[in-house]
Amino acid sequence: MIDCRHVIGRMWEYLDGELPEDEAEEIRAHLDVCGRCNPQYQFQIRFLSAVVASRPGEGAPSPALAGRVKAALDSIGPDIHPAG
Amino acid sequence: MPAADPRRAAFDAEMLPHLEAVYRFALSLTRETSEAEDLTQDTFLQAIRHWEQYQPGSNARAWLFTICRNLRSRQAERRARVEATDAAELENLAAAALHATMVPVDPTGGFFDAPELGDVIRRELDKLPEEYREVVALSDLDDLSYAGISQVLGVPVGTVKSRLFRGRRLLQEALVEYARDAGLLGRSGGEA
Repeated sequence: MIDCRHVIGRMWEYLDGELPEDEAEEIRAHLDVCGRCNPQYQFQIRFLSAVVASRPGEGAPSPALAGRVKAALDSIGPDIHPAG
Repeated sequence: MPAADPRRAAFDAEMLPHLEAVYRFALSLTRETSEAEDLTQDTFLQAIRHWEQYQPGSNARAWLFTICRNLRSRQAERRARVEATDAAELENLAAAALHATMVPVDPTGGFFDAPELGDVIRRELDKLPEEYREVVALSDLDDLSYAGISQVLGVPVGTVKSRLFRGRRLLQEALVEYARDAGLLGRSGGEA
């Protein structure tokens, strides 16, 4: 049986999906019933969602970039060989 | 214990004259006398375990120094792994302590849903020291796993975790401060 300290100490790894499934399952079960840990879990989920939502657009490059890259590739000419 | 068997006698004769030199070298690595003594002892234990690999008449001191240095490197790697793990757990606990200050006013972080938070988060992310900002960005904006970030940055996963958790906590602290100043939190208690 895991305790609150264990759950709090592994909260980020749990939220990031980086724990082994059996440990994640134990933490999930604890969070379902613990009045101390659950609010913190909700708090961190909201925080991470806000950070993800703050992503600037989809990071689309300027329309000119594709042309710039192609021009740079063209300037090398056809005489290139695969690495290795 | 007397060196009764010939293998041990040969080891003692060839290796023990270099004890002081090994200790001095160990001390130069550890800078601490008891650690240097432990490392010296471990070096000789490792040397006798691999005695058959020693070429008689070759440079015994260099062989012992190599063993000593390799042992020290492994110790340092182990220590770094433990420290990084400890740091990650401490950051989790620090995040919990920050959350505890929010319990009276906004226990589940409703203020994170405020429409202006996106701009504030981007601004505060930009203010983070680079070593934290890049890890938070790779994890939370680019969806890389700890292993993926470790590969990109060339640092151990434990270091990724400690930097990521520290970065998130610093960001949270800044957002909580913003929320307090902007009046996004309840005023019923918990205000400093």
